[in-house]
Amino acid sequence: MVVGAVCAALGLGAGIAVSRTASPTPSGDALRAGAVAAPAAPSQTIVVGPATARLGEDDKAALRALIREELGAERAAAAARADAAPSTSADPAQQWQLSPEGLQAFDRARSRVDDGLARGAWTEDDRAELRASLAGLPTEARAELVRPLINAVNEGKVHFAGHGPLF
Amino acid sequence: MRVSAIKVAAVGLGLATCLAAPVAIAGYVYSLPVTVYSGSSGEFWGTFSGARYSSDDNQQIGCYVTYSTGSPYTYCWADNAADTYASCGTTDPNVAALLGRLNDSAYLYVAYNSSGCTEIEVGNSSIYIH
Repeated sequence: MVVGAVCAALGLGAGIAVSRTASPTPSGDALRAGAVAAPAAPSQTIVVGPATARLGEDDKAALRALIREELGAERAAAAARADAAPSTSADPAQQWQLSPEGLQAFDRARSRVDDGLARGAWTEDDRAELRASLAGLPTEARAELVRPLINAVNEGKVHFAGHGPLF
Repeated sequence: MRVSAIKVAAVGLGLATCLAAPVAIAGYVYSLPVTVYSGSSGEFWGTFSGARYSSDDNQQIGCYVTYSTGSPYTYCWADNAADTYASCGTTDPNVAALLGRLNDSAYLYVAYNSSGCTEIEVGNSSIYIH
């Protein structure tokens, strides 16, 4: 009886040990790492899984630094894009709920401003056309459209060959 | 004789009143030219009458406000004697309310940056009326 119980206990212990070793790794990362590292036999996958979970402190620190660096670079790039072209970062039709006619007016206005910026000059004819296009657009859309023109004239990049307001 | 003396005195008083009148209604006048410091940020100021009655044909200063869907949009601009131009806009409704004070006696000061007008000051005084 005693020998049988000892044998049973040993058998149970061995079974647990085997099942722990042979069970699939619980981590998705480990599974992906195994798949990428080597499409090998199941026994090798068993080895790769636990190995991934046992990153050294140096590796962990390096990984954290890499992630921080990538996130920081992405945030900086997003900020630069927002500064450079705020009007093109969103769909104006959705942003200001423009009707098809409103969207056409918005595009005409933006095209007129872009043309003036490219020429480095703004005339009273430009003003008249821009005014006509701005009429009926929501205030925020107007402000968004004219800001690049105002800034360019203030900075001397565009010369206003006229009198009175720019638009 | 007495009547004649009274008439002479009345005529004299009338003449004196007429001659003195222009001096009495003049008051102190301060002619302020339009000043513009332009750039990515800057400021401009001046009086409406100073710009209007300046000796050159460049000086001007003003604002307008438009209402559309959403908030009002206020736009201010100025051009000095040397034809240096600056302008800015804002959607702040408090600024739009200030524009009601712009008239012949108005003084206008505006500061701005690349985001728009950052400060607008309107003053009124008899000294700015030409």
